[in-house]
Amino acid sequence: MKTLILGLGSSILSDDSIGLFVARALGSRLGDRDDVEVVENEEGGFSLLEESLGYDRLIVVDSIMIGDALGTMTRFGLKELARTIHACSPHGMNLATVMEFGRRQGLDVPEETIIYAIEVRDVLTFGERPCPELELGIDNFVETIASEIFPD
Amino acid sequence: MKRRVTIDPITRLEGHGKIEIFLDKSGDVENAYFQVPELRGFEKFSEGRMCEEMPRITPKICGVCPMAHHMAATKTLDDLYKVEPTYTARLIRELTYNAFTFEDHALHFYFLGGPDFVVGPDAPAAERNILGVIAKVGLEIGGQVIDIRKRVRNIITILGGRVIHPVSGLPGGVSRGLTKENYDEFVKTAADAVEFAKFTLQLFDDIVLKNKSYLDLIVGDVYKHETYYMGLVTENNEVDFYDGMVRVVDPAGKEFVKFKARDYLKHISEHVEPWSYIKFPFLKKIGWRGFVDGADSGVYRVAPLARLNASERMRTPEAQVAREAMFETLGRPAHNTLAFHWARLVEILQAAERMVEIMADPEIMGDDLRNLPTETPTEGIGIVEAPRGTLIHHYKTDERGVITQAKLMVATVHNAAPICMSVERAARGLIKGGVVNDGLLNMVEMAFRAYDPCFGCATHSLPGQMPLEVLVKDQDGNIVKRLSQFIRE
Repeated sequence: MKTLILGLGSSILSDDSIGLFVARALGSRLGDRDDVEVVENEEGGFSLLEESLGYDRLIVVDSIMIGDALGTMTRFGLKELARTIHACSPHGMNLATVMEFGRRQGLDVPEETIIYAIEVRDVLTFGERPCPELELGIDNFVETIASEIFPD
Repeated sequence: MKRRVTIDPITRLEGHGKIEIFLDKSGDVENAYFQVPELRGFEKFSEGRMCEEMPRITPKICGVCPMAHHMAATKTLDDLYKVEPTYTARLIRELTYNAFTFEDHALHFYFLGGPDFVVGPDAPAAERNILGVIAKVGLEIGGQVIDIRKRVRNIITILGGRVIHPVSGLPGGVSRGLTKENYDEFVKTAADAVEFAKFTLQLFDDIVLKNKSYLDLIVGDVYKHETYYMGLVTENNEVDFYDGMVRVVDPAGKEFVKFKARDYLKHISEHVEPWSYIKFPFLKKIGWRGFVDGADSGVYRVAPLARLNASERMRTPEAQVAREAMFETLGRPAHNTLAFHWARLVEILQAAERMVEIMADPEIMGDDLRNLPTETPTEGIGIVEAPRGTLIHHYKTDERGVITQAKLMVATVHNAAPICMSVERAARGLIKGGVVNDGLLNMVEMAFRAYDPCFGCATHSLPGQMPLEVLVKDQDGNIVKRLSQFIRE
């Protein structure tokens, strides 16, 4: 099974970069596997569909702000995102929408999508690193994700 | 009893816009505020960096407009070092930039703005998306969108070095030219882009303009503001996305001022409101008169409709025909906010036609890609027309080219006051006597979606879009009604 790990975020907006950092660390952790590819994506929207074509499984690591404690990592699938399939975004489409679009167009979209979202605090201040609390958590995020997606 | 309606994106509490609508005692709209969160610390972040880094760093601000920031930064470097790009380098920049404008606009129409019309403004929210569009127009068109986007983005990837965060811009030129290997493919892509743009305009004509209720919505008063308009123009006052003078016309369409990029601070000032971090730009000579339109108000608009209003004509022939058709229906200047969508399609055609024109210029294959800078840098200003409006970069450096001050003025900031006005107008049109229904969400969204705004520029947030919550509160803060499109229960 071919897996794509997609780290999302902006690398210059402080905590927003946490998905990129975790994906990078996952790449090092899983470096010896030939069934995994790690990609960092700072764009989002439609490009998520294009990136993920041809893989059996998509693992997304991203930041989120839903009022949880800083550093809380939530796992969910496209089903949980499906409720948000509509066009309210002024500048981007969500993952569920683009994946469903790809599916209906007959494209080779992954059969399974798992999303790991890490609660962050500041995505508006310019900075090339997430806050220290999040940085300290990177190893834990990586271990959790790695053990869940490759339990063997 | 006073009531407050809050439309709040809850997954990005700070990261996106927020709308608050205040109702008066009789339940009608008293005021509406559209708040755009401001990115913080850009100046400090830039300070001490070599200015040559800016075209590589600033595209990372926004995953939506990376090429616009790259090009504005590159042009700012030209100005810093007082060096012009070679003719071939300019062609390559323009080709890349028109390719970017084409694919960004096309994506907006089919995926973001179009669903309001193609699926219908009254359709359930769950259907107002690309899936609804495809259900209506067919899978084949979906395939065409995917195909042309992929091929146009290939031009950006090859000439920009990378598609998302381009790296090719250098002061005085570009780092990479066009090779024979890509030439035929690019010529074909440009020609196909023209056909796709014409097809899209026809689709808009068939589905939107021939539907009386949609046309009524476009020309109706709910989405109309008579403002000044700003955009880059060529020496012949034609629309140009990459370069030119900044031209401003008044609400009657008469030229108000035309100025060079480096004089922008002589003509634009910024108003501060206590409820927003964003400063609201206005025309200095007119002054700030509040969130009102008309010739006495310094509020101006940018982005596609503004560019068409601020120019005398399009730069390419078929786009000019499409422009005339639009003004024939709407009058000129067109003040209808929803016509931003229409103008965007006229611009798609110009972007595609420009790609064809540039590919037909033999110099596109030239190898003179750069004029080496020799001047000592001090201060530079670069302006481009981003898909969502005028984008200004302004840097100061020491004699080594190390940044000492940096300022950006992005399109959504130019449009911040008009967006507030449009949201208020839409809310007034919909909310009467305290009745707030589900349609508020989309009517208000339509008002600001037409501008294609970019908010906090953190582009990818999960769930990846802007969920809205509407809270109707009484004077004591009690929620009397709650509407939502995505709420984490």
